[in-house]
Amino acid sequence: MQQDHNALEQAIEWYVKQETAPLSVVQKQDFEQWLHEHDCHQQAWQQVTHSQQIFANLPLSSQQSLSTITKANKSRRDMLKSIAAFSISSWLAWRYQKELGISAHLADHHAQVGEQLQLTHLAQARVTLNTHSAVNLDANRLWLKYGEAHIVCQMAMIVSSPHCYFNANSGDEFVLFDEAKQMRFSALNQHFDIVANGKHYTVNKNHTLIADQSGVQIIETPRHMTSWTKGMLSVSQMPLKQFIAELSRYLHGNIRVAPAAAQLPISGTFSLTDPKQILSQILSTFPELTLNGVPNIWQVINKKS
Amino acid sequence: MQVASLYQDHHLWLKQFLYRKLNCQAQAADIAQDTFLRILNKQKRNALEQIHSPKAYLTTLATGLVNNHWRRLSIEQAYIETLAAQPQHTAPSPETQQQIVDILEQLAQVLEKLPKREQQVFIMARIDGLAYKDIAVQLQITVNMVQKAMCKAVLACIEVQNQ
Repeated sequence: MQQDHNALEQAIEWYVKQETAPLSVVQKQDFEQWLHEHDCHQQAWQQVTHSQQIFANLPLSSQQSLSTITKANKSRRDMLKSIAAFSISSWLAWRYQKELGISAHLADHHAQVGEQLQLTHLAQARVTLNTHSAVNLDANRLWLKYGEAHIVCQMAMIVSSPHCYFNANSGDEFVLFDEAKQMRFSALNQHFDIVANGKHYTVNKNHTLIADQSGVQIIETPRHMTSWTKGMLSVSQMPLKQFIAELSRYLHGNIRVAPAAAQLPISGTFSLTDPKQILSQILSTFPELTLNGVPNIWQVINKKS
Repeated sequence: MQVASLYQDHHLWLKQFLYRKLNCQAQAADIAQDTFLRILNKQKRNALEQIHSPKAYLTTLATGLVNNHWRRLSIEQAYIETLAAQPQHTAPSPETQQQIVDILEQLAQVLEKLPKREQQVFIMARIDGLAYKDIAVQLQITVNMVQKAMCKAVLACIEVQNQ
């Protein structure tokens, strides 16, 4: 018990140290040594990183989070009132700094649904965000809060997402995808050692690790997982249901495929500049398909009987 | 062993106690189950302390869970209001909404455990994503104090998650 508690305290100290500034070579060695000294150190480290990554998933500003909690607490406690007031002002100040570019290196970056955003001005890395994605960056750390990003590192850094973390070096190129139901990591220029769902994996060049409820698998990277970086959705013999699942990431609302149409194989390369256009293209190619429902909210693709 | 006998001796009584608090049979049964689950989990982690007075122990634990239950409900409600106040925005999926409420619930519990300074530092670092040195500048404290505050906050997060 005491040993576990000490390990936890040490893990927290290392975590906070890494967040403060990039570790020196000597510190990195010390950290690695500490990490591998005991199993309990690794467990503690995982517990600490996991406990913090949860908050990276919160798609609310501090103002929204605090006002929600404050509202919820109002009947029970007044404790948070003062800090909410404080935080709103600091939040405004921060936004303002962001506009002025003073803290541009701290900024959140968001891509809206259907948007692809190239961040070429960052010192740490060249980042392309795919549809509905967000990253946080600081001096030596990149967090994918949600969504998908193509990243070419320009310096050594720690990369993390809700289900994964790893160290990357200058020149490293990869695609990281993390959503509630699935996490994917595609190694592009070389092999990577990553931690996904708390376990270590090596992902070879041109391979993709996929982690979801059914477990973890590593496969040769299918074309469609990286083609978006060139503005294309490129698939070969993909069942319609899976294709629509990919496509609906770029569209507002929900599109369901009825079982009768689910297995229809789709092949081709589609431009992502206008994702809605892809849907009409599919429907005109397969006249046996029908589309019903309310656009942008809830639609169903079915097969004419 | 201890848990099995605890359950047999006190389950019915605890359910009645909770029913008086909640006025709902189903919820009382759920929270009674949760109370024993907590004890089982504690035992699994070898964190179960010697229970001298089972009734007092169970009432404290169950009352905590009832408070969590109210907290959860009020956060859900407040979050729905926050969503509604957002200008023309696509609402997240119900699954994502649950996730967000989960995180907010944890955040609320973590903040309750921390003094004001630590709360500020934690929010600025975790939710605003500010670097330690910038937090230090904004709060006019040293980076070292930011680090200490974050150590406390991270420990609080783990305590909340281990409950």
